[in-house]
Amino acid sequence: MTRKRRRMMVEAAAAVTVTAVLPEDLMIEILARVRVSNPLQLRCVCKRWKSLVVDPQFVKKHLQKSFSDITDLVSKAMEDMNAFQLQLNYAPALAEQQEDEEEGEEGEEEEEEEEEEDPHSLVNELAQLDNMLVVVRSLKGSLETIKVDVQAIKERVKCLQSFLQIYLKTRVSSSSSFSSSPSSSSPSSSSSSSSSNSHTM
Amino acid sequence: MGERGEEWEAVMLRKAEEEESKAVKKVKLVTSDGVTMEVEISTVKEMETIQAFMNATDTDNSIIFPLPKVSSHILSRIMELMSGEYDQELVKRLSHEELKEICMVANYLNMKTLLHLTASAIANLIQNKSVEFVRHFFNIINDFTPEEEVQLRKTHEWAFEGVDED
Repeated sequence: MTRKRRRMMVEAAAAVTVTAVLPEDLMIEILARVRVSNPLQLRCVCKRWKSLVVDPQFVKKHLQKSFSDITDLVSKAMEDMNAFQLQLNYAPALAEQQEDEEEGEEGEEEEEEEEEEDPHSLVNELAQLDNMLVVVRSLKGSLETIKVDVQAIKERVKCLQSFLQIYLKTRVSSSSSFSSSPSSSSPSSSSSSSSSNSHTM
Repeated sequence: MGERGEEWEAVMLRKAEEEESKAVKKVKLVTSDGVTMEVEISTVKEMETIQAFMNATDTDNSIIFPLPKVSSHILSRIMELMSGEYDQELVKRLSHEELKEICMVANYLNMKTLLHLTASAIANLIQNKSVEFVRHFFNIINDFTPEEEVQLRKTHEWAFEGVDED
């Protein structure tokens, strides 16, 4: 009976640890692995996280990750660009080659049967147009891939930019609060100038 | 003289074998709900906290290690993950609570692979999720005043674009 009771108490204690908050070092471990492109929204979770996200240690990790992400994105875009370039180089050659072949065929046919020249060239032309269409379609597909690549880079850079802006702002405000000199008016003036900037935009 | 030397060698060999068999002895882990789980020493190798304890105390072959913060359920889940060589699919099958608890235990026992695996899994879970989801997930109490939160959300407004559904 007492044993059972003790076991129940132990179980209750275990249940408490289940809902317990994760220790801070563990939080940092997890936050450092969040592949979120902009960690700013995490600042709204609680006060601790607000400062954690702009903590130099975290910022350093985030910047490293961002740079490697952007580098990866850029190299992917470059790869796709190169592939497109190759396609482009190959495409007109294909068209010319076909024209040459066609001319050659036409020439031969002309020698053999002159009457059938017209419908034959039409069929050939149609086939050529079909081929061109295939080429153009694949070029279009490649261009779209590059567009997606560039869009991803743009978004990633935009995220990084905004993150850095906020980070620098927190740096400025914390350093000005330490010095409490007349320069403390600078963040407000800079923010007003930026808001006026946005007005003019 | 030569015979005695051989005899002595044989004795030493036997001793060495005994030492070796000692090393394969099991470790008893006692969980918070009073369950004793016997595991191989090789299993414990990854649990650096226990390993350090074993190195510090010159142990005989019976080692009992209490884990007052680990339930038998979580410990068996960890054993599954270890024997499954940390398969991502196994991790995906864990509930949020299990994942969190295993992560905490991995941190406590200093199990590097398991810690990385579970911390990454949690990071994947919370990324691009709403602030409310993250708070709920970690049992974090929102200590902002409503005004502060509105202000902060306004500053980071664009950051909330593309937040996934909870």
